[in-house]
Amino acid sequence: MIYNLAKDFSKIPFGRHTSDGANSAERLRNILIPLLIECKEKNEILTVELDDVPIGIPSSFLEEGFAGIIRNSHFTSNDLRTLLFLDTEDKSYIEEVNSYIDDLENVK
Amino acid sequence: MAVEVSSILVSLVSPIISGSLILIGWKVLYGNAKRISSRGETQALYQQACKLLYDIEELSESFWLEEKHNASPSTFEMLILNKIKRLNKVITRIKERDVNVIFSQFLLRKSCTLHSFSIGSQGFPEKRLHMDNTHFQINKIEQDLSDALLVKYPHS
Repeated sequence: MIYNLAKDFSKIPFGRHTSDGANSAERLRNILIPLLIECKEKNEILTVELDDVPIGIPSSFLEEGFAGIIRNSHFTSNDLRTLLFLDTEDKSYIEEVNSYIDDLENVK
Repeated sequence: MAVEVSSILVSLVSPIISGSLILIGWKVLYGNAKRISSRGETQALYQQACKLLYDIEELSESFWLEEKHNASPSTFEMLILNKIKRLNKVITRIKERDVNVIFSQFLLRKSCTLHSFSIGSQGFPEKRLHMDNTHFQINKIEQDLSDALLVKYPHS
């Protein structure tokens, strides 16, 4: 399953919570969680394509949108590593999101 | 007969040796000029990188310590991300010149933008902590760049 962040969500993703703006990480998370549930049931991987976002993606959004899935659902760090694939030429995004997932490893 | 042959040979050897010396000298001069020009271009890229780091530092100080863009953290994030993207391109060009520099875009981006949307609820000590972290990352990148350039172009 493929989800293009720029085309399917927004070209200007900013903010952590819905109170921060229309294209917040919380709104993304509310979209991704059901998709992850569906992927888990079908034994698929959810690929999120990041490269079409022109300006770049801030850390507040990355942390809340991806690692926040662990805080706000029953998914664990291991689940996320298995079910979620970030498709991007910029490996620093993958490194960053993995670091946030690792930080939550022992919390859940 | 033998004398004529040897005198012909002598008259040929001298220009051949002279010509060879000229060619070698030209090659050495050309190589040096190319190295100096390449060093100059790399130095120019290094200056560009330092300017971008300075811009990121100024933007961050304005945001964390002077309340600029506090009403719109997304504006701050957009400006910072643009600078970091350009910095990454410049450093990539420096690396293509065989300058072995390590640059973590993620750590710089994290120091600048991880807590930006919490600005409204943070007191001065927390804001100062975030700025200290940004300073640390910027200073580290600048030092790593400088060290890598020194390895590539040691002082003579």
